[in-house]
Amino acid sequence: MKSFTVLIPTTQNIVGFRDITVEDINVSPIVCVDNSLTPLPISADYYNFIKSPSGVIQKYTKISSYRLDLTSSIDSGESWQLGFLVAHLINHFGTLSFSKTDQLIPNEEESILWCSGVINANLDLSDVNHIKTKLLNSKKMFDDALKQKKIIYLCVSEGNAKDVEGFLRKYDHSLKKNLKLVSIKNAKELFEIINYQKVFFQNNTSLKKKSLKIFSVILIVIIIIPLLLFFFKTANAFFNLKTLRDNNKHISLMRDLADYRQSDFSLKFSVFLFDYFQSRNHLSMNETIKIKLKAELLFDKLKEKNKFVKLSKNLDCLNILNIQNYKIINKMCKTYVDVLNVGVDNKFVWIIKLTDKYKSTKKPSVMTTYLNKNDLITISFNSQKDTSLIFIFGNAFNKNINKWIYNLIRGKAILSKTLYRINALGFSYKKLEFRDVILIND
Amino acid sequence: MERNDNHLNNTLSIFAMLNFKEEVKTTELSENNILNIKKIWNLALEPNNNQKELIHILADKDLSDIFYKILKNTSLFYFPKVKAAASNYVERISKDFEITSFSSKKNDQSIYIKLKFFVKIDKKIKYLYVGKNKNFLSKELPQMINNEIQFILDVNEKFFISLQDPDSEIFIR
Repeated sequence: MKSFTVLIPTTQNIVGFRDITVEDINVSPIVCVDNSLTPLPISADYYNFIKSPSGVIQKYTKISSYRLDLTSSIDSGESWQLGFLVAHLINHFGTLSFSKTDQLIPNEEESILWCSGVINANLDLSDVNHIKTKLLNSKKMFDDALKQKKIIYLCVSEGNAKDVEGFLRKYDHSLKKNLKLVSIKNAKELFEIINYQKVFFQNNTSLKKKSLKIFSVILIVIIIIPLLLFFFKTANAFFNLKTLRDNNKHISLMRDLADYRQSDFSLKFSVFLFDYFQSRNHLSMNETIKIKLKAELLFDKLKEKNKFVKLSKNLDCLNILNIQNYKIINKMCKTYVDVLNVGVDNKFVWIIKLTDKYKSTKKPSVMTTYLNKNDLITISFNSQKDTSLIFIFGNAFNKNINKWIYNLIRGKAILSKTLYRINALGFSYKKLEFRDVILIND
Repeated sequence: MERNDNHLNNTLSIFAMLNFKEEVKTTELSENNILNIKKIWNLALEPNNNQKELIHILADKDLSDIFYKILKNTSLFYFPKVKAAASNYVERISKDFEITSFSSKKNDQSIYIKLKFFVKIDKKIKYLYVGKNKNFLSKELPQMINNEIQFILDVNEKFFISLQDPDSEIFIR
């Protein structure tokens, strides 16, 4: 990094930095002149300029205690702030060239930062008074430095830049090359110009970015890896269930389902996923089989009781009332159920008529058939004898399902469990229940 | 360490003592200058005004006792003698304030003296006095920042040597 000499113009003279010493942490920051034991009156302001939270230097250097020695006194004002900031930050990297009382610009130094400005906590720069006087007081120093071909950066706020421009017009074009006006809004801009931005201000941000990256990696390790392990275990269990279903290994499937439900969360989650996809499969298959109820008048019975038929609206068997999820059909009408395959594939259907064993002696019956695309079958239904009509359908015949259905109608199996097993094997079902109701017409 | 807030009572007791002493003790300093208790009182309030008289008072044991008594009672903060071995540093700590010293890293011949106050101070603190028998020194204090006052001394300075001495009494006002 390039070294610099920092100079601060006052209304009386130009002040250079004699020395900056990092003191014991318990020592309050202090400004003196040339190693004297008497602090300058600006020491109180310097204290507030250094120490956090009011100060800015501790924020960047992490050091709270300095002894600053100047080449001559600064009694009052605040225009020293920009120069003090620049000097402390450059000195933090060991690249500040110190002045001597009788020699403000060291012989070996090529670059000089002439700074005058007041800064706030955000390093925004404010204008200062008496800039013309300060420039006139510095003229001799500028001339001497230019003779030695040194580069002088005149660092001021945008408001003070006009006065500096006016001052620089007096110089020859050839000399102006070495007298550079640095007009800035914020002190950080100056560090960009002298190439200290990367090592200082960006250093903090890059450190923050690095910390953020490390934090992200740790977060990934802590969260993502267990999550991946969880998903791996869940997927493994899920595909195991799926394979068992596809291979029609119903005993292993039912056993594994029962085991997984009692296991840890990942296996429970796999059962949940399996059930979810089975229900989706169940719904999509259900949409391919349409079931429609229809009713007709029993003319034979009517003839027996009446000499003629009087059709009223309420007795019309074609008028099937829909109330909520129920369909209401006149008991005097004969009920039929139409089953239509609207899907692309052929379906194998088991049709089970269940009876109420307390009301009827009729045993449950099973019918099976293949339904090709757009095939329609109609089943008559006696609501006084049969209680339920169950349609079980899948893409092909399955001997296990056949066995379970026969167990059901023989009373060796429970309906709900049988339907769950059927569903687990990837088959679907529809169930119609019939109940006697009394419809009261007001 | 004592903190003297009740100045009225202190002042009354001092005046009672002075009236008694004034008749007993008068000393002729020169032909035109007679030392009396009133002068000791005034000198205790402004010790830097007359060094010649101060030296004379401190030379007399009775008068120096009175002088230190007045100084103690009119000071905002007071540190008595301490039973401690002398050391290279100054460290006197009480519940109201502390005096500590730190060696400079720039120059080991310079010492930072720091007065730290733990109580709220309404008055402006101007002087630090150190006294032990005939040796009496004063130091004008810089501005207080955040309830702290800091100044620099040379290690060979008499004031620092006196501050280090555990037999010295310290007065601040």
